[in-house]
Amino acid sequence: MGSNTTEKALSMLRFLPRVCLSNIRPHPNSRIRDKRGRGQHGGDKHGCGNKGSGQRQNYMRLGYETGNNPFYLRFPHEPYYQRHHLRREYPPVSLLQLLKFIELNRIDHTKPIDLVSVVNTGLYKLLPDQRQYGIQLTDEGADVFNLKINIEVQYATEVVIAAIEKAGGVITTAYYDQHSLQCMLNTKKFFERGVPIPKRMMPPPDAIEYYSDPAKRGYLADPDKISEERLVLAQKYGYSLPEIEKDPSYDMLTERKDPRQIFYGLHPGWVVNLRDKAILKPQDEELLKYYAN
Amino acid sequence: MLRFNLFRKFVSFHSRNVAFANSRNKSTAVDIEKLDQDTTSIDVVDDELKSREEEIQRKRNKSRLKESDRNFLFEKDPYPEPTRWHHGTLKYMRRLYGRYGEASGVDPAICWPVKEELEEAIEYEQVAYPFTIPHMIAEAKRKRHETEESVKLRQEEIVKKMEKIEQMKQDVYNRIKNKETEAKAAKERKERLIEEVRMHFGYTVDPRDEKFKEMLEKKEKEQKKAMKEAKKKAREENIMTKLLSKKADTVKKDVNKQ
Repeated sequence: MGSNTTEKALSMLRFLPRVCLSNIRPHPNSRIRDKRGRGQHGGDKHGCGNKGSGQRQNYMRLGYETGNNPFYLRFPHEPYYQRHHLRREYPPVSLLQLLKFIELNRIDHTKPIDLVSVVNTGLYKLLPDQRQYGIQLTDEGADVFNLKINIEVQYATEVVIAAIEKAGGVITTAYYDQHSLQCMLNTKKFFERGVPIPKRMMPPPDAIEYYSDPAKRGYLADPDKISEERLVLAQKYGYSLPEIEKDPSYDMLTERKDPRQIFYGLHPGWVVNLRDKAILKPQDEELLKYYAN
Repeated sequence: MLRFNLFRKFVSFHSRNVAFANSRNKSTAVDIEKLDQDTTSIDVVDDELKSREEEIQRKRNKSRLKESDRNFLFEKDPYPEPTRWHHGTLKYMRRLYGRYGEASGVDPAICWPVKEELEEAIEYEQVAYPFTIPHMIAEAKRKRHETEESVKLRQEEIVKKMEKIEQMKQDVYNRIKNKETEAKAAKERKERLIEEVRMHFGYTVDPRDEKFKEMLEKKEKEQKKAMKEAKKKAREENIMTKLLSKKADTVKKDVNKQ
């Protein structure tokens, strides 16, 4: 008896067409029946009432308040987002995150750390078209930070600077213009373009004060004044300033980029070829003058 | 699986051979090295061999892909022979060099900016970044100082004015008080006059009557005259006192001189 039904079922399967969208029923209650306005279900005046502008569909314009100054015209100027398209953004990275990166071997702390290293972890995204100019180091994790690193960021507060210097490290704040940022974000792609490394441009006038301030460890500030400020900060936050001169990794810690330099160890004007693993340097006088300017 | 086993066997056989050779000819180890070098230095330039190899490679290619696509897959220059107009542009050729290096056959000198590009770049920089760093820093500092100065001046102004505020308040109150007292005095005077006139008439007359008004005017005039005379007197007295005081001063001075 069972086999009879199975035979029937199988013969049906052989006969019937393949299941597709056009021969299956829709999910229950997914299709709503169209309610046409007839009779007691929205009939007669179809929700428009009697006479008047409502039934005659002669409505006032949207926002009109029968003569008084309408709400949408009361405020001639609302400067809430004035100049918002010119303000620079610095997406944050906390000290805790940085510590995690280093301890999980995503960043090598025995070499100088900069934007390129952080972006190469793949966990930090920077979008220069959205007026994002670099890394802002936040103070979450300042109390547990204990690594000696040489780091270069674009913005850092006093607490962060103190935390890094207390641990025996070095922090610098530097500016990268949009063009340089695009080169740094995807270095492989940049080198495949076959163009020489560009010069890093100077900060705009409203940022120049920040980057020339020794208290903020700006890259344009006087190094002597920076060492003074290190002492001041140590006294302010109450820790003894570690002597970097006696540190074995002194060279690594004091390695800083030239204001026109984008990558560590590479100068503007050089062409780097990844396929041949070669660096080409220009010889022409004019080019040399342009890139050394 | 079979292929892998064969490969392993081949490798082991090869290694054993080498070891055996080494153990046998230890004294002549240098000779073997020389032989290796000799064999590598000789380049077999056999055109026939090359063409045969190429044919074999062509037959091996069963992908039915376009030449350019296959080259792209194998990370080679997709168009060794330029076919489109943009294969001759600087940008494309620089990218070829960037991606494929020397194998692309591009002269790396084109990577650097050409004369026009260099001129444009220099001009752009001069327009976009006209100031030097010390100049920019000085400007920023100056601007900051200016704003701070103006704010400070304004604050000082406000402080000065705040000192006077109590006095100003007092002045206002006094003015109000004076006005009130004057108004009161004037009212009183008028009331008195009305009373006088009423007394004069003997019976309660409506102040709006004409007669009443006439009397009132008379009385007002008399009052004004009296006030004027009083003022004059007061002024004369003032002058007298001043003169007297001056005389006293001059007398004192003479006395001092002497």
